[in-house]
Amino acid sequence: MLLIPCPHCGERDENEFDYGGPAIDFPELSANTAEWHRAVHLPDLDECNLEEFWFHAAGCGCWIKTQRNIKTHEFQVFEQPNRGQS
Amino acid sequence: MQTRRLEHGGNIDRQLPLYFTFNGQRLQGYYGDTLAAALLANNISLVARSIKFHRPRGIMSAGLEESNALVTCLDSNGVLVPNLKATEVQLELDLVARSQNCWPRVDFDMAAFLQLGSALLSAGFYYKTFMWPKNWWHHCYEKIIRRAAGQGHASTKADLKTYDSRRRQCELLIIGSGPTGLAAALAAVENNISVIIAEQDHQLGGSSIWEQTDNESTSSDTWRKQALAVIEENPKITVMTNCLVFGQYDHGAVMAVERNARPVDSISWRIRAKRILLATGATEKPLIFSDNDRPGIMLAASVRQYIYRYAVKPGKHAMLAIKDTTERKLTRKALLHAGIEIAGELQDGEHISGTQGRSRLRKVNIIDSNGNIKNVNCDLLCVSAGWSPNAQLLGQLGVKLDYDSDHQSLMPLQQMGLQLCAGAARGLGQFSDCIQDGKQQALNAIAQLQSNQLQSSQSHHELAKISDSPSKLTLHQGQGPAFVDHQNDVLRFDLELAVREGYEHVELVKRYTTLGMGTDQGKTSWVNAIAELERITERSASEIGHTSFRPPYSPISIGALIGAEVGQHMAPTRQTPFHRVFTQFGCVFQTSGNWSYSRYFPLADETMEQAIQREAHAVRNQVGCIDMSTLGKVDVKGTDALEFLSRIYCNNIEQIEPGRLRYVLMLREDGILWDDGTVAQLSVDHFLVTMTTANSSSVWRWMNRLLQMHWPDLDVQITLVSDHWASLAIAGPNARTLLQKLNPNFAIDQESFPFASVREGLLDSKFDGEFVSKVPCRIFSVSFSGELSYEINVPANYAHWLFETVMERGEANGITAYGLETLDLLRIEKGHLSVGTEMDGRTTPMDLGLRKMVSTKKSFIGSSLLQRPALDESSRPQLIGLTPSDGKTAIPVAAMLCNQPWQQGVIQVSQGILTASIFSPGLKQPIALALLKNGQQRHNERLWAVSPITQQSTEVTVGPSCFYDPKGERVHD
Amino acid sequence: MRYSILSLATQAFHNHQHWPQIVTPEKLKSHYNIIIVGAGGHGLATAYYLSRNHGINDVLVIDSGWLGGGNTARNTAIVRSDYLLPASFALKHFALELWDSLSQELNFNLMYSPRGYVDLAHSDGELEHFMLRANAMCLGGASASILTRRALAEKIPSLNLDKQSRFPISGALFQAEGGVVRHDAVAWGFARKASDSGIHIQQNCAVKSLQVDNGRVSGVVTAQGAISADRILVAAAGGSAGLMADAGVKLPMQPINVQAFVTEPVKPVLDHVVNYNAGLSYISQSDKGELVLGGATDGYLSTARRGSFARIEDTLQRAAQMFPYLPNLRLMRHWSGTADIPMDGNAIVGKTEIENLFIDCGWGYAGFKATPAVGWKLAELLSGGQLPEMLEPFALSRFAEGRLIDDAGIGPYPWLH
Repeated sequence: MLLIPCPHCGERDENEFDYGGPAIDFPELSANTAEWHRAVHLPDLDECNLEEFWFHAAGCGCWIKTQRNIKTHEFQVFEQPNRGQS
Repeated sequence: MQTRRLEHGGNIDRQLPLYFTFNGQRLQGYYGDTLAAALLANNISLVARSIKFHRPRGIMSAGLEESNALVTCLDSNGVLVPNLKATEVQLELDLVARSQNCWPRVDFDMAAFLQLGSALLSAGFYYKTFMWPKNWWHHCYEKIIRRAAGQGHASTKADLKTYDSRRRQCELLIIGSGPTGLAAALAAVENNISVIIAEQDHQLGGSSIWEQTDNESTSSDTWRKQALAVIEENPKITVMTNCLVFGQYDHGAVMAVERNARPVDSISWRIRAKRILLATGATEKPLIFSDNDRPGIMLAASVRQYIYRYAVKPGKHAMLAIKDTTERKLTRKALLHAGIEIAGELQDGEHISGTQGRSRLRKVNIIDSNGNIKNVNCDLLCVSAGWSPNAQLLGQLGVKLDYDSDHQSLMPLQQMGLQLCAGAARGLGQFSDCIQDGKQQALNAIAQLQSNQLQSSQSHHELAKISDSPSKLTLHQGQGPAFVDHQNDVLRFDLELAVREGYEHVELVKRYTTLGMGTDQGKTSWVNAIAELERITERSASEIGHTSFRPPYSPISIGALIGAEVGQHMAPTRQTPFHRVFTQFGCVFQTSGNWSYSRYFPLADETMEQAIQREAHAVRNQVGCIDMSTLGKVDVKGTDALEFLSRIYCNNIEQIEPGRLRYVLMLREDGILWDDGTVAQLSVDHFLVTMTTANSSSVWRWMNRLLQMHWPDLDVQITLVSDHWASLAIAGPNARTLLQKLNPNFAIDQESFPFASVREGLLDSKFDGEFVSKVPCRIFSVSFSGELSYEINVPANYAHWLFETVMERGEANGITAYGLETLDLLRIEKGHLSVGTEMDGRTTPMDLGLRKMVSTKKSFIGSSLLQRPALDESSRPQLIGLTPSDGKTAIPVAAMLCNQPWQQGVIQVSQGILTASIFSPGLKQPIALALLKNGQQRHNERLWAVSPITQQSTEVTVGPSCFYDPKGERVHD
Repeated sequence: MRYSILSLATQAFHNHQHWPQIVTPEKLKSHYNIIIVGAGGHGLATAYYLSRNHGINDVLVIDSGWLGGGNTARNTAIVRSDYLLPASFALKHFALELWDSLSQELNFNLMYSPRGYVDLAHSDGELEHFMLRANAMCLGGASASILTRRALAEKIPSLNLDKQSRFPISGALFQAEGGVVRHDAVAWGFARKASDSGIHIQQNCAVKSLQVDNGRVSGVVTAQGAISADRILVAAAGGSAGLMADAGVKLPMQPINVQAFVTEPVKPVLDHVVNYNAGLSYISQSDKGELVLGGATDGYLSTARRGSFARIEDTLQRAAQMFPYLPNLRLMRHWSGTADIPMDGNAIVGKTEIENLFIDCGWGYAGFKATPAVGWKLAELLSGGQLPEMLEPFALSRFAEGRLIDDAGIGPYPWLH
């Protein structure tokens, strides 16, 4: 039962969030197939410090990015997200 | 008669006698007894039979570590509750309990003959036999073994008890309320920290309730009472008794179950703490020797507990086989106190070669240091091989515990992350040491909390030795079976066999012998087993390691874990704004996923089939109305709104204008078709976008993600408005006529309001001649059914009004309410797509004949990966329509497309699968949709639609997927 | 020594002192024809079939831990072949054919119990999907049928068929040959026979890296030194990704935690394997009497091998919907493991860009049931033969090409599979 550090709401239980997977940087939409293949199917996974996306559905309703050790489940420092429109 | 009850003493209430039944015999105990204590008080020592050998077993402990005394009780509803340990059952008035896994009686068990075959029944014997004849395992051997295995009987009657689940949080959670835990709580009191103290027993105090300290001047009971007085008074300490903490989870989360939580049966607690102090004590280790499992052989400290806490005399003539001298002293004192004769004490250098007695211990055979045989007549043997810290909760986070050779036990670290250990849980033994340590560790935790830092000290402190004379492990050898795990009948012999056969790793030993896999989870067997393995393999205990610790610490009721969210409360069912008014109309609903849908609207005594035929006919020939409110709706605004939409849909929508709408497709980033919907432009920089019901949440999430994380520079604001609007589609040749009767304040003729448009305005709401108020509306001319159709959106609170008005004013036009069953028929006739069938998460727009909808002029989400070569191969399954070649035979539902009709035993490769098959009310013949390999090139080909499960095969002809009004003229009427 | 009631009795007479080790400890050689990294079910099965079908014994199976200690040991042990997509169906169906007589062939009781697999449908629409699957299975030679509510009531009387329940049951797909197998025995059985034929099996010896030169693999570097080989198969489930990445082959898969648990053992109360809510909860009863339950994955990346309690609550809630007596029982033991799940939820098997380097991974939580079939086909491939037809669809290159095998149609999101 992870406590996920939401920069807006503080540490909240994982059941408030939807998981968005490893934080992928999308290439330009016009980038070629090989580049998109790499981005979508072969993202880099740093297991000790994995950047991930979460959607705080039952909280602020924002997407956040976190850094987590996926073996110990320890979260690292917050990263302020780009505050998009919603 | 309680012949073995001491006349005085005990933490029981002699004013409250409780009658209970055991194996049909009516007995008496006292309030405060466990079932085990009450049985011992009534001189009942034979309580159970072991699982494999059906050996007579009694009560060996006084707690959750009990390995033998498993019973079945009846709950308040008369339902069997099996596998309870007699030591964990609180005695209640009229408790009904009985032995399990024995027949006909525990004292005369027919299966006891299995002991004769014990040589055959060695560990893993079932892997070596039961293989012939082939198939006999399942049909014969397994049936017998299954009946012999399993402990108690489970009732298949529904459980009627109620439960709840709750949460709590605190700064310091103290698990265990023995001397260590109470001392920790006292320290916290002085420091103004919020504390929860969780104790699995019904009283606080742990061993201080009954244990006599060595030091005459500090009675532990007095100390306890003083401590409790302070604790109970303090508002910052929450006391939870009957509360077993069973699992440690991430970030200070802990799961616990509280029993006897009247008025519910149990409560599961999720507790979040900033620091967790394990004051969980230690479990005594039994000795391993031949025939060490007889009733009357008990753990020494448990004997003391029965004597002092329950005022019970567990025997008349006792022998002591206790390693530690302090432990021996305390036990001697207790036996004398209870008037139990001490028949003998095992000395250093002596070892036990066996015991005798059938339903009760009678004699212990000893070999002394000179090799001479000695026999001691006794009915009680108090054993102890030392103490093993209860550090499982720490281990549950994946920490490996080190084997400490002085203590001959697995020892936890003093601190690991948020968890600290104190007292006997980290190897201390003396009462005063424990109190000191409890206080000290609590102060450590508090200091960390106050400075908000994590002290990741992972060192052992210099521990006072539990035993002052750590003698080498004595090997007691003899002829009879020496039990390491009593419950699963795992012998020392079995461990030797496992190693001999190469199952040497500790995890393989566990699986091969089933050691520690019983309901006691190896609390009295694992640590001893490691010592045995050290001897057998001649490897060090640190090399041997241990198996993973996992929740639950002790078995816990599933009912408690489920809590109150049962039945309909499991997951909320959503209803649309039309639900109530539909109900009044006789609608039949269906729950699918999250929603309660309107399925069909039967009149009078109609069957579903009849209703659907009538509804479909009405839509195609007059006008029908259907609830479309479940579709997702997103309001999109901003100067970059069109740019944004252009990036997420594959269609060319740049040319859209205010007042128009487009049917659009959304691809996943890997190019596969995900969702379909509409984009309607309401005004400059303002759009309304719809999604399918099933994908509504996930598309909303996706849109947010793109805008917040990937394209934050776009000037776009999105709002989820799915719930704001009630949406009723009116469809059929009379739709426009009916719409006019709603008096919209804008023109709706074909030219002013063409197909694929949107209009906003007001509807005139005269109702029964009365003026209510103007009703705001958004009307989309869009069609799923293929008829002239308007989706009328009004604010959700007007749903009732809208439906009643439409039904009233449309009566002359033949208005008919219809549901999803009919809608499905209509959309199949049109070859329109549905999520889960044609849009199955594997198809592309090209597969579905929608290549034209994929823009070649722009890039969009998925455009790049859509170009992967295999995604456009003609051998891919492509959407086509099917009609029976003879024009009338039904096409089996869910059929496969093959070259030949179905024949049992003939394997065929299917070329395609049907996504829908119906009798078309409009065309009056069977039709079907299917995904067929290279289907677009195979029109007019004949194939067989084959359904082996119904033994049907129909010859079909491949054709276009739109059967009805292929040019789409009807929507422009 | 052959296992049988006779040898058991004879050995009992001699106090079981003469049983041989199931795996003969051997000194590691410096070169093998074939090295298989990973002594799980798949790796050991491959070794066995290399010997049995192709007479190849110069094989080393090497593992960083104990025999079968990965996902094979952490299994709910269900076998079935109820898959719609032909690629998924074929291997699992072949496996069922092999399971049928594998105990006899390995002379090790794998306890294959074809007690019947029941997959419950909760709406008419879902049932229609199930019919598709059943039809596909029948076409492929499996036996499958659809059970009506009445048939279900007869077959499983304790199943809750109340129409008012939150996820009412409208019918089920039934596969008679589906059932359970004793998972540990599978690893041990294959290991024993492989070892008997001279194959070396080395436990507790980690492979630290692969030796690759010029696009060809030549050996492995282990904790006990370097060993060369003509061909190497990496069959190490989640452990494969790291090794392969070092060798320059990035695998499109991610590690997700899966949990399973058992109740205290009780007398027989459930004779079938029952699946609920499309796999969000499934249950069977082991021969020891424990009810074995599992459900969805934990839903985010993790290699911690311990899971969130929320998943257990969810699985139990659904299971109690099926069997309302369940709340009376107690949860006794729980385990957890790492499922390596690729981007389309299906395994990655076959060749890699590196010559002589082969891969078998990405089976997630669905690899056990296919064990003997995968071993058989991989042995065919490793023996120098053509890529077997059954393995073709599982190529690593399918992601770049767009040839996905996504059974559930979920997409490139391993945590959702």
